[in-house]
Amino acid sequence: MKQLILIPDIINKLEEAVNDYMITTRVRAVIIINTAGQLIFKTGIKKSDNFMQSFSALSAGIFNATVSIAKLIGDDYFENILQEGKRINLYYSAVNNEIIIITAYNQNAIIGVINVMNKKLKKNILDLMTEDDIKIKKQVSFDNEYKDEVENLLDNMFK
Amino acid sequence: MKNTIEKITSIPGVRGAAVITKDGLLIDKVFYDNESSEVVGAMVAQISREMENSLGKATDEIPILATIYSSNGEIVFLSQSDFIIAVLCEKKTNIGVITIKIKDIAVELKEQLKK
Repeated sequence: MKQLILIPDIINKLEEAVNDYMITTRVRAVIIINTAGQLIFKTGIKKSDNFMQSFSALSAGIFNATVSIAKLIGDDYFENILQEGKRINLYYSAVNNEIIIITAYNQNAIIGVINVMNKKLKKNILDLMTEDDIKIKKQVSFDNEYKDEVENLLDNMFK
Repeated sequence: MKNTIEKITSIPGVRGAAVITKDGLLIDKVFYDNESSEVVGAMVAQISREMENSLGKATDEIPILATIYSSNGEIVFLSQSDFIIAVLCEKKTNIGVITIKIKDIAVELKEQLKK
């Protein structure tokens, strides 16, 4: 299964993709969370960590509730969910069954444009995701010289 | 609604037509595939919004009518107070006929939406 591993290079690419999306759609903020309610990435929002934790957990809860409805009607999950407020609207978009993009926008943005550009952002995020079996870190290996040295040290200890 | 917008497809060179909300969401369409109609809808809605911001809001009496020319084809759209009609056509298409037809369709759609 593909996973989003947040190493500096991936974060930079993710930031670039999200910034492109924000400029084209004129949205206020983009928040990426997982279905467990953990915040993965945010931009355009300057709220406290406590606020973001609550927001992420509640948003994941909303998405998970709709997953149950989707399953009742024979689908895995709803790809897009829209919540309209007086000033700010929220557009939930599932990248897969684990990652959700939440877009906050006001009257300046056009939902049709968000809908179209969101597909591009989802594709970009999926491209940044790597397979589970790919090891990011190199395994530490010990050469023979080091092994011999350690063996000698141990031998000396028991002399 | 489909029957009404289908009338425009009788003009030679017309590849499709769509009725979209001012927010760029698709209400109804004929011919061209779903993905391209979504993109056209979003693009037209954005251009229409920009034009309204600079020229003034489109009304039913004074709609915004515009043509987007490209190397492969043309998009003609008419923006009214509640909806936008977009027509995707080939280069050879008679834009004059489309302009007349699109206005007639807008009147019909307005009546249908009032019911």
